[in-house]
Amino acid sequence: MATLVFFVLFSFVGPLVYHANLVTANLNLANSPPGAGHPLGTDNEGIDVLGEIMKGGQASLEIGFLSAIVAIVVGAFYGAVSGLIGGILDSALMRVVDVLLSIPFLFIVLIVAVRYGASVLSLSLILGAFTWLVPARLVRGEVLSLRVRDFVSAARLAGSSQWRLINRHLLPNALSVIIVNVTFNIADAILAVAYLGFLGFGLHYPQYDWGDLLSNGTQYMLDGYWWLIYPVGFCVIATVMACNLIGDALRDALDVRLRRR
Amino acid sequence: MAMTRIARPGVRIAALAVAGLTALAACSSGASTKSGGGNTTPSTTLGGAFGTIPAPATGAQHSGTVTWAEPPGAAPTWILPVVTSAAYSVNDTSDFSDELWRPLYWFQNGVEPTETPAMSLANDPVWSNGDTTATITLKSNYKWSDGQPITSRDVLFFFDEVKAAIKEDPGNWGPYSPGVGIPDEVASVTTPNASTVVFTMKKAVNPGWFLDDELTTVNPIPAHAWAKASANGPLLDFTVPANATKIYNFLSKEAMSLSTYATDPLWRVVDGPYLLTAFDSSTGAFTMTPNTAYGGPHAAKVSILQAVPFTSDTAEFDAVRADSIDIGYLPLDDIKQVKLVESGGYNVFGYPDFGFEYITYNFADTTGHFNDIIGQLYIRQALAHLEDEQGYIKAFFGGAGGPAYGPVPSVPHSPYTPVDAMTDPYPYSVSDAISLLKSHGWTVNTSGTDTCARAGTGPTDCGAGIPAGTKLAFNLIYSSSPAIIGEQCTAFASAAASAGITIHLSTATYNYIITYYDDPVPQSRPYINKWAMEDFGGFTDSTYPTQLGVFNGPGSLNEGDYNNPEANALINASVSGGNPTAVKAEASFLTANQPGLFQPNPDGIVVWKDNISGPVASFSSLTQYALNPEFWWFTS
Repeated sequence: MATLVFFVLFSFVGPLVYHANLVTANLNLANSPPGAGHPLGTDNEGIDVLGEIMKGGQASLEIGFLSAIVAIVVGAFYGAVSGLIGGILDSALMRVVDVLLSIPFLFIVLIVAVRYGASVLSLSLILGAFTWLVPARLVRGEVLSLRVRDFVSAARLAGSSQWRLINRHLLPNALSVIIVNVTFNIADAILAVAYLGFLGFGLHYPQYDWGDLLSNGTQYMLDGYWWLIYPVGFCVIATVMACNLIGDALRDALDVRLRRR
Repeated sequence: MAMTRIARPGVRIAALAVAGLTALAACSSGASTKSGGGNTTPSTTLGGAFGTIPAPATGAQHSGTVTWAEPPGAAPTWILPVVTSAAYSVNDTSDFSDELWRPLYWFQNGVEPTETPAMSLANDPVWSNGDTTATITLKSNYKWSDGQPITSRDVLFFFDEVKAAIKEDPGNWGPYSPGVGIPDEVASVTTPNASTVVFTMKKAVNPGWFLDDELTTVNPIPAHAWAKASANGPLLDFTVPANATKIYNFLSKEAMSLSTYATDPLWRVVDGPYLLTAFDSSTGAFTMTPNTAYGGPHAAKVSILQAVPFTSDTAEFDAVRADSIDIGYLPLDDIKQVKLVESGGYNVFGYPDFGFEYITYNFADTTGHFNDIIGQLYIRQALAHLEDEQGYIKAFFGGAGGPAYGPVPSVPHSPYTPVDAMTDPYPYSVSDAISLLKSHGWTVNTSGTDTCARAGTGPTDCGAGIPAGTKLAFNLIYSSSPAIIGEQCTAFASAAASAGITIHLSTATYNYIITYYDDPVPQSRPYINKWAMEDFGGFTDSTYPTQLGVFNGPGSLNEGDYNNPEANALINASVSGGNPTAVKAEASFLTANQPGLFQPNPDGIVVWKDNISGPVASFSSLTQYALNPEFWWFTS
């Protein structure tokens, strides 16, 4: 958690403290090594790398959180409806999920990014639109086991509507699965944005994302410009790992089956 | 002749525009040269050359097998010299079929786009009747590999087959431009004797253009062996159009059979330095052995050529590092590895392609009045002032590139390079750009976006069609590969921001851009207001570098609908008048008028093992997509 908090502060509070000109290229300073004025050197446009990483972190984290929220809201309700109603509708809904899961979503994301352009909002929505599938399956599985429990049967007998069952009984009891999945979704979204940026279809100047910075740096991998690769690479790894560890910890904490009696 | 797009200028996947390549004959003297043009010492003061080419070795010459790195996606798919549009690229011509069948005129001399007469099959045409008749005399030293002489009927055979091919489908001949040049402007081709061909034109043409751009597309083909409609059929009179069609259908059918390229008896009759002896239709790998009957200049002992295909630049570079390829290339991204490559026993040399890179302006985009904005010359001049060519060459090309301020680059030098192509008419200066904007009624906001304050058509107003309050903000879509395109566009957008011009950047694939952001293409019409500027790469110039098709009004490659009456007149004069300097005037005007934002040209960088030697120009011409292994020998 401390790591994630650090990167949130680093990305959003850091630029308030560390002022770097991320707009004006200075080709005379292109690929300068770390030194006075540029603690992490400059990139191929002569722009300060530390400032870029901070700004890139903003975009990566924003997209990670936003897409995770979209994915979890859509996936949780989809899975809950499917699991609760069951029968043919359940089968149909799950086959839809199967079909969508079989599509390599990165291709779709690439096409949409090319066609409509990449921005924090568009990338969040696109990623969210393709990452709700796994949460839907997980929540459905949870609901399948919950719906035959006594408290759900009691609620039914008391006249609860399907919506109320989902809203008040099933989803709250599946919360541990949902919360844990949120953290993994954030990590996955950050990685997906990194992929897109790496392929050149992420955000563009004057916006930055970590994948774009990493992609830019790899051009110079054999040239010894380590400051273009390692710092931003570390940020991606540390943030993704932090999200995953938080997810594991939350699962341990929230899943009653894993609690010590 | 129309030019062809290149996605990765300077890297060996460009498409062909210079129909002939080549040559190098008497270029074996002198010590190491910085850039190695044919018989001349190319200018190095303008930059562009990277590395050196050793002088030809003086010891014993040995033959062997030269392995050549076939770039990704460069597998040959067509063998017939009547080349289709789809196959009209260096992959199928200069790197493949030109090794087997030589064009009538060979236009490449080291890095320079000029003729190497010794490698031409004919003497230069003699013009008469007011530039309407060209009389061509074939040389006697070139023969077919079966011992038959190359005659004027072989030239006529090619011409008739081209006409038959076009009649079936214009796409059957890559260099074809409707109504222009060969064959549409040719009234007749006659053969008064076995060594003389006479081209009679429908109207006077520019002799320089016709030789450089049209006659270089003519490849004599063996009438005595190919003028038939089936493998075992009788020879037909190809001058009868119906027969010519039957023959073309037969030859093109055979050319589609990739698996029989090395065994089909048709393709065994050649006049080039090589015979194809093995071809892998699935990978594009091929082997060529020397044609002992070849009558052109070559090394004393010609080596076998073996093309080794690669599926990525990384794999090719790995092969170079592993010392497993004789002739290869160095991807620009790896230019910093030169010392590593050299220490592995390779020579390295780079030079820019004869062509231009540019950001295309969309003169038809009405979004935010962009069409009216970009129609103003002062705006285009201001944008040109925001491009730091020398900075790009240093920062993004690792110093391996040459400046280009117009459609004819500063380097390589051509007889048609205008004097004013050597200096930047709009040198990098943000303050000059700001001054231009301010003097034309724009309120410059360097921390935001400039707005038009004085609408009107006066000399100090924003210009026709630009209302007050219009913002200088538009989009620029650039190709996602190679990275240098994005780097240049980002630096340009950054400089523009310093002048208060907001440029929204986005990427698309090369194919997407040329499909949807190309105004003359029908499928692009719905997208005409979606893009203000795009950068897909550029074009290779024809040897005679007229911009016919690219910057004339209805040009098929005029992607941004640039239409300037003066430019149209100058381009027309380049191809139809007899003025030998017309194309220089055309280039000068376009350089000043900035129909697009011209960018520097990156070098094509080639590497070869240091135990391979040959004329300097035989290596420097590799940077211009010309492959001439017949000149090379092993020193050990």
